[in-house]
Amino acid sequence: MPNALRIVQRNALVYRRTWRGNVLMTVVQPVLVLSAMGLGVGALVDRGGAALPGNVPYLVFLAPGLLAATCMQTASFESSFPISGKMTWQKNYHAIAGTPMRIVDIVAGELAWVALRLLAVAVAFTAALFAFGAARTPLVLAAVPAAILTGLAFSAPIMAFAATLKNGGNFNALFRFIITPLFLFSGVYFPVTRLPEWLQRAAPWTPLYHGVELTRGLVLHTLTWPSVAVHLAYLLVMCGIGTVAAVWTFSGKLRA
Amino acid sequence: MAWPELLTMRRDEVPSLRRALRMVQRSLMVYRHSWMVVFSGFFEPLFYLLSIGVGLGGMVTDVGGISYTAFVAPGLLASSCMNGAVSDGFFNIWFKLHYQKTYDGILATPMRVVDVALGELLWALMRGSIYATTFLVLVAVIGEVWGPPVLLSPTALLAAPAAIIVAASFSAMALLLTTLVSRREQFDYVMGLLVMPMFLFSGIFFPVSQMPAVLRWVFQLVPLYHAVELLRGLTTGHVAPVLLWHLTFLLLGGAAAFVAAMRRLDRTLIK
Amino acid sequence: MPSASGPLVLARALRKTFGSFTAVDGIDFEVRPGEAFGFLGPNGAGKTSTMRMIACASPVTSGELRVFGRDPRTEASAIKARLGVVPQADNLDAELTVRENLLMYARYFDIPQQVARDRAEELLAFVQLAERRDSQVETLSGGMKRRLTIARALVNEPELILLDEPTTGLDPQARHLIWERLYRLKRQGTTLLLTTHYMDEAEQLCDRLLVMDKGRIVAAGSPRELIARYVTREVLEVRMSDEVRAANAGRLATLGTHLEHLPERLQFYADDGEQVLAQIHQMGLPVERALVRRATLEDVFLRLTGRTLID
Repeated sequence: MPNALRIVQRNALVYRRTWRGNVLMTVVQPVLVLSAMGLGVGALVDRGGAALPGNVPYLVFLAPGLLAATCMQTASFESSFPISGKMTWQKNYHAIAGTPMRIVDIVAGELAWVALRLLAVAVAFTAALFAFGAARTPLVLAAVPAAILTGLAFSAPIMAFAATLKNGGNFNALFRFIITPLFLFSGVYFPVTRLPEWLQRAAPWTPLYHGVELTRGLVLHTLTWPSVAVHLAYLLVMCGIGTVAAVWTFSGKLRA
Repeated sequence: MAWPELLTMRRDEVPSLRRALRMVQRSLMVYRHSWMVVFSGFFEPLFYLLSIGVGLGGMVTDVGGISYTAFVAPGLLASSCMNGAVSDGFFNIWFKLHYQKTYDGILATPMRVVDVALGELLWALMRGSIYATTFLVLVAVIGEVWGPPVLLSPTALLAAPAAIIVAASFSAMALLLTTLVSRREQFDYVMGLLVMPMFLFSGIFFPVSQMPAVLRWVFQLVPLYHAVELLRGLTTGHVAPVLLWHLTFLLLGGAAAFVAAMRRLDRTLIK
Repeated sequence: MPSASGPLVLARALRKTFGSFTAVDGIDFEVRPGEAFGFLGPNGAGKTSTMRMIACASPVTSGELRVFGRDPRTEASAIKARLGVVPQADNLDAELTVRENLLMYARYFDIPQQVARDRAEELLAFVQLAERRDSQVETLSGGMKRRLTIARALVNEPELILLDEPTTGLDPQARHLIWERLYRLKRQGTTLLLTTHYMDEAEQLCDRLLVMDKGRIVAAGSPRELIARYVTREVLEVRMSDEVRAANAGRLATLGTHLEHLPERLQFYADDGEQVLAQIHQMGLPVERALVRRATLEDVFLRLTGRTLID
């Protein structure tokens, strides 16, 4: 078994204690949010008759972007506190570093674990999509890997950051001033064309924008190949840089 | 524990305000170093207002005769009271109670469980009120400067004291919740089955009248629903006697929650 | 009105039960002003439960308990104002620094702000933590945390200090520093009430001891009295092979005042251990290892209950 998978195995063992609550959140969250925002608020939007890209009902517009954004949130939670805790308080990594596992194995393993969690989230969300009748084509399934990639693009850099924190986790600024604003202003709830000029120009520099455009474009079948390439490239590059950064910061802590 | 006993207070149990304020002094000391954590707390409802209230709101014509922004803002005000209560009333106290055992040390002094409970409540209330009033001021400014106006009537001034009452009520309920959750694994249930559904379905983002009529009576049990209705009534000028019903629910519910919380804390801390 | 020269703590038929489990099974004792009084016993003996009742942290199930002449059931705040508590598990305020812990604690006792500041400085010097005054509590070692807890317990200048296993888990240097500080307090007139399962701590610190096991008192008196009453002055520990032991059990039993069979050795109790050893040699029995030492409270406990203090 590749070394990295040992990390996945270990996390799965720990997960046995918390999986029930987690599964509940994973399954319940999309249903709740799609009902409230997609149907509840959606009724108000559709009544207003505003033009949405693709001329679809609000629910159909909202759902894929929300999928990407939920993956971002899950990835951020899973890559922040647990990593920081294991590095600083529990010193799990310090213990593992004494074995034949390499730093790159540890990072890859943790990312693999997050990817698994994101897979669960994405599948649950997509199932909800189907249940709500928001899935127009089978291409919806392509949204799953797109959303997972979006999540990983956040996961890697956040892990890199988490490893450096001294006190085991003041992620307050990260969540309040980066994750939440991205969640609200990256085109999930309303098209970015409604943002003020200067923010519209800033959007393509941010990761969730690309994740949302990619996911929504796949589901609504509104993408051109060049734009797919751009979005994919951005996310992959972020993921790559983040992973390199994570290996670097992990090494800094574990080899000292 | 029998409900009547749970909801009454003996004479020697009346909390001492002077002692309760020591807990507030303690919290101020703690947050002196991390005031940013407190300060940043009010950005979240602001972001939600700008995103969903204004960004999304531009795509909605109107709701019951008022702009979507004016519809959402008082709801977010109510939820900001709730967020303050949940983060300080619930998570923070839970860790002090079950993990750090901070209160055991404090109770070895003349401070009693009632004093500690009231003190923590006061701090959560202070925090929630600060969030709420700053939010209200910002909302007024945004409405006047950029439009559309969000506060539609002079009764909006009453929204400030009303928000403080809402914050107090939620803080007491959060305190009670702290005594009901015994394991860390149950946090997900609290967030997923309680906080999130309340946030999404209490009429903040869309009118509750859109939901199936059969749920109408369920809402009467949801504190956030009452808070939203009360604050929205005040900020939009739709003042009707039913607002008193919402206010009463929050006051009585909060008081009952506090007494019950105190009883349960007593049992947890004095064994 | 509580008497000034009466016992600081008085217990009669004191009981504590948790459901069907009896932690403290009807004990009587008195703690006099100015003395260092100890509860000695293994884990589970009921020492902590007793301390918690005295500290008004745990309600009395039945029996009589008076602290400073007052009843913990109704006058808890008045009692706690004159008490200092050093619990078994540190419950320092993890969100505050070292100095802030002392300041806030003083405030819980209604001590005025300026007096609190002065006292915090004195206490930090007393427990040698002055350089760490602005450190977060989590960064302190176990011994430092215990010293801070002791300093905290002194903030209100208590007449009586309760210490539950004060040096458990500490290295020898930390233990000696704490003992030294406790001696100082005692010389200043503070009454100490402590629990321990370390016999050296009990012997060093305590004027009088209550030996407890399974919620009951098995013996009471000063360390010297207990040793004199229940065991001899010296103990001879002997290691010999199992065959030799078994073959000569009868003869060995006649030596010394008393013989205790332990899993890995024999313990002979006698006023003169060397003499017993000489007698064993005279019998021609091969001895793998032998040690003559003074009798301790551990031996008292073993004699009284058949078990050791540390399990």
